[in-house]
Amino acid sequence: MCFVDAEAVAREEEAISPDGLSVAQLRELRERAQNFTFQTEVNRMMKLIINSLYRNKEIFLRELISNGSDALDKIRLLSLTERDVLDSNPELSIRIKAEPDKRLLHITDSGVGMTRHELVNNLGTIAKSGTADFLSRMQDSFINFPIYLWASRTETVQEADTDTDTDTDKPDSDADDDAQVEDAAEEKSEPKQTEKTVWDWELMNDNKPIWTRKPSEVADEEYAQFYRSLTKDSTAPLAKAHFVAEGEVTFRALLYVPRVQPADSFNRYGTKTDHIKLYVRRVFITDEFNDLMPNYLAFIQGIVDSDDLPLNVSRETLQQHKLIKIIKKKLVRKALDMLKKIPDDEYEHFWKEYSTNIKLGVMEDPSNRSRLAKLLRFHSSRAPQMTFLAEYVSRMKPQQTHIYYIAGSSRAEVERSPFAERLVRAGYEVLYLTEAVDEYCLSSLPEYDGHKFQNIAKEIFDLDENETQQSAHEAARARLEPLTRWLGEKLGALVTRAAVSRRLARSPAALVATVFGWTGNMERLALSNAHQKADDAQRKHHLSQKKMLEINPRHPVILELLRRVQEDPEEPALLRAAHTLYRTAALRSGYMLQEGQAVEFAETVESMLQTALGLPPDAAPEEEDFDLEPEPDTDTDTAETDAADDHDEL
Amino acid sequence: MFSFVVLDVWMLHFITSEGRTEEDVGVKYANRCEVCKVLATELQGRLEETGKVHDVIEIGYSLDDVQPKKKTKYEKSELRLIESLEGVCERILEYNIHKERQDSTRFAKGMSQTFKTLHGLVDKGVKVDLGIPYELWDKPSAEITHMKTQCESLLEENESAIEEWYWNHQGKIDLKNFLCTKNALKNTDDSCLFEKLEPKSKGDKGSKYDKSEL
Repeated sequence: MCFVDAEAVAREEEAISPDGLSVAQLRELRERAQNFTFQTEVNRMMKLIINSLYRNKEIFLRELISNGSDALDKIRLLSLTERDVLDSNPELSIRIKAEPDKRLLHITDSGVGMTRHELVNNLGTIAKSGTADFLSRMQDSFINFPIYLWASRTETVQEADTDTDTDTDKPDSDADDDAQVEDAAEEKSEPKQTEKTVWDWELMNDNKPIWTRKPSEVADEEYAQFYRSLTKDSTAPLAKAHFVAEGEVTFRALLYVPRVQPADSFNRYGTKTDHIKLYVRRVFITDEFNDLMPNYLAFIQGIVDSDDLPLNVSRETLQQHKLIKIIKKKLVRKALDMLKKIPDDEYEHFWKEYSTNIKLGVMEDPSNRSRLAKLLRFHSSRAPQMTFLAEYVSRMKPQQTHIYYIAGSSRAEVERSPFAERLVRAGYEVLYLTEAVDEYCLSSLPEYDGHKFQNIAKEIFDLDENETQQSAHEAARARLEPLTRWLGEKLGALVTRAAVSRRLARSPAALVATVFGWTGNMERLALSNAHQKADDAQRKHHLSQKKMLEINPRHPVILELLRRVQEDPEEPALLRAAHTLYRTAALRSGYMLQEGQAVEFAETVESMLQTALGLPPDAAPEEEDFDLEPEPDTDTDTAETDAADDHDEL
Repeated sequence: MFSFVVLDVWMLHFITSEGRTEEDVGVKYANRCEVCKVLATELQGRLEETGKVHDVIEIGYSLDDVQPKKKTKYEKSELRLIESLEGVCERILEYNIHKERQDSTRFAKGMSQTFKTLHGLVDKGVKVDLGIPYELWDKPSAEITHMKTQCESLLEENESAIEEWYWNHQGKIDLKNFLCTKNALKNTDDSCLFEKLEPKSKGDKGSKYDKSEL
């Protein structure tokens, strides 16, 4: 240890417990001990340091352990030339023992501190560590020495039936003897479980700093073992990355992707700190940082170790330390590289666990958006398996400029979406977005590899067609103009306009969202989101936006409607048909029928059902005779009338 | 007193034709040149701000002054570059689209003439219906939010060019020239970079109008 004040030495003589040191060691310690006293100014200075620089006490403790480690380094190096320095104690370790009743904390190392000469020379210099001086000349790789803590743990012991004298076979159970005897007296005859406290030196740092070695020199088993001790996760990690980043701040890092992400991760999203442990010069600083990884990568476990950060400054100061920004930027890039390198057979599993994280990353981290886009996978019309965007692009038709996608609640739903009908039939691939986050994710991704995305449930729709197809479409538009005009007028309260569709094949009609309006899928998500402001202007605006009605120029129902509109546009049945067409189109397109339209729609279908079953269209349910019920109480009757009157007045 | 004016600024598009692109519905997104121009302007602005800091970054174990600490001037540091790039595209949200102009100068900070007039009318008690709720009037328009996204993509794509400029050409070559003409817009039209806002002549009409209102 570097500093020993006079009183402390006196106390230490009796205070250091023999548990930590052998008799020989103690003797050596005492024989060599000499007392020096701090000068008053230095004492006062130390207080200042403790109160200002070391803002939390734990950092002070860490500094002491770090000093111990320095002392061990020194003796280890000395032992290379002077063999006998390790004779009295060949073990290099740090032991920590707390004595709460005496209010003492012992930190004992088996290294060498400063010599008398060094001590006298350096004492005036605050926080001067002779070892650092010594090591600066040695340019050496570091060894992490074991640190032991005198710790208790509670063991549950199964006791035998009749054996009352349990103490004999458990000699170190003195702490709980009294309790045990009392218990034993109460219930002698029954087998029972007793908790007892066992004290022992417990190894605290079983993590060997394997990150300080070259990746080529670390065996897979060592990586796996380090991961286990870091995370207490017994399954092997999905991926790892071990690297040195150089630049303004040089650091080493070792990152892992756990095989499983806890199911409740997203309930804590943004509140939980990341899982990166920060070391400075191999001294553990903190794992309570939220600044080393963005939220969406909070699942990554690992350590970062840098020689360039200040070791002695408190955690708060470090958190604001601007150099952390440089580390974070590089760490994120390396983490994304690691994910990119996950082999295909493992990627499937990765995607099941972490797809939502990556999609949130696309939305939250614009500086890495294209890098993240390369990790995205979606269902597609081409095959039951998911596809990367790069694979989609490689399969695009020669004239195709856009990446088409449709979003819905499940693959079964989007596979039958009216919007994808004609595209899929014509051999275009359509991405199927089936997770809640998907449509948000792609709307914040403007393009991939130079190809723009097109949400095919929206009005803006560009299909590359040849001249024949285009003139056929123009002809259909002209032919159906009387119907589109009529629909636009009659359904004006519900739709912006009606138009001839280029995307329908099977369905007679569909509802498409305006350029910046919400699709059926978005409306569904917005309406079912519990966490939202009740009266939000933007949301209200979106929900009240009218959609456009698209009709299929080849569908018999549409052609029949056209014929009838030309014959008698005012026919009442025609108007009813138009409303039903609008409502079925809304349902097909993933919209909910709002403002009581669902009931009207049900009534229309029921009336069609009656006709189909050969019942008269005006058939009504049988009247039920309410006279059989007991007379209602007259008092409540009047009360109700009063209430009604009051209401009217209001 | 209350007159009812329907000013169809946004909804000018009475769509009769097909909506094949956003432009068909009256939305003219920024082109690549315009995005690069705005990014270079904003980044230059950020660098000018951060360039005023005269801090020295000291790197190393701070209590043992044995090994000399690495010292870097903030002005010439990686940190300054990172901090200058941080949120540079966010600044685009301060822009507005000035539909009264056609070229790249339509993207500019401050409220457009059209909206100044409209707000003036509302303050007077005139009911103005733009087809969107009044609360959303001053929210960034589609062109602006899209330009922020375009800016972020352009930045990610050209990060190494910016780094190259920062370390080797800063102070020697104009950022706009290096980033846009030589890299992001290589072999494409960069004429928008040279467009300048014409000095106000008839635009003063609007400010006079504002004054008379207030």
